[in-house]
Amino acid sequence: MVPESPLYEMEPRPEPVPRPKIVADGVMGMLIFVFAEIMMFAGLISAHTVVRSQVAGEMWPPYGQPRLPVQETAVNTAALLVSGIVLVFAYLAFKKEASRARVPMLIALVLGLFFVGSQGMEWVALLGEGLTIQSSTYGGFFYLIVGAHGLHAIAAILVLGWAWFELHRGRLTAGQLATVSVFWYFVVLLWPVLYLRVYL
Amino acid sequence: MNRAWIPALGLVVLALFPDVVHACAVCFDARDENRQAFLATTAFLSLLPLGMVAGAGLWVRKRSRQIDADIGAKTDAGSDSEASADP
Repeated sequence: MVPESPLYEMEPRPEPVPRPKIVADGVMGMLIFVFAEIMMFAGLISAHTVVRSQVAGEMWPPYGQPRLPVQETAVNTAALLVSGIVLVFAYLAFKKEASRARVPMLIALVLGLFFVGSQGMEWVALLGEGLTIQSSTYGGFFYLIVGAHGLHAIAAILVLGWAWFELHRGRLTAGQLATVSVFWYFVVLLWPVLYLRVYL
Repeated sequence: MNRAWIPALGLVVLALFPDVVHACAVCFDARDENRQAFLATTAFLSLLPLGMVAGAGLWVRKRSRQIDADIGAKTDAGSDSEASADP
């Protein structure tokens, strides 16, 4: 029998405070994916830079190739940047009250659709002017780099649309919105770099 | 005496003079712009992943410390309230 002595009287341990995750699983997965995508675009930009430097007399775009619509694309760029800012407000609104994020998310979605739609119209016009993926390295790089970004923009629109529907049903979590936002910010912040390298 | 630094120094010197050692057979062009483009993109592609990993590591460290500080503040607040509740 264990004797009752003060030695065995132990103070109850305090309840351990649950430690929250440093970063949500979805956000971490998306960050790793975005890092890989950044390296892919870095490779494309590097190849573009080297090929451009090989053109004699700095004749870029090459002779006989149509000029890219710099000013029209500047408007698209502004629309995409605004969509990123609006999505920041959507996230802040979501943290206060989930339903308040509905309108800013929809605005970001519409701006993203405007960007992709305008880029599509631009492509149709450039194809009509004779700039194809096989017409020159200029055309090849243009369609490869801008097209790769366009695919990412379409994917970002799809996932943001999914997030909006989930919010509409009241099932969207903060982690899911943060994950979608990381991908959207990647698409938004990458574009000005591509615009400066490819269009100007 | 440890002379391991000699080959390391040699590698550093070779890295500083790629033209002399022809370290990259395809990275040579008579035009200065092209050589600069090769050097710039090599540096860009080398440093970008390191920068991203370092940035992510620093952010995770900062966030972890912030969480620790929050937990410490909560624990202190809990023990203070228990102590004040004792007669």
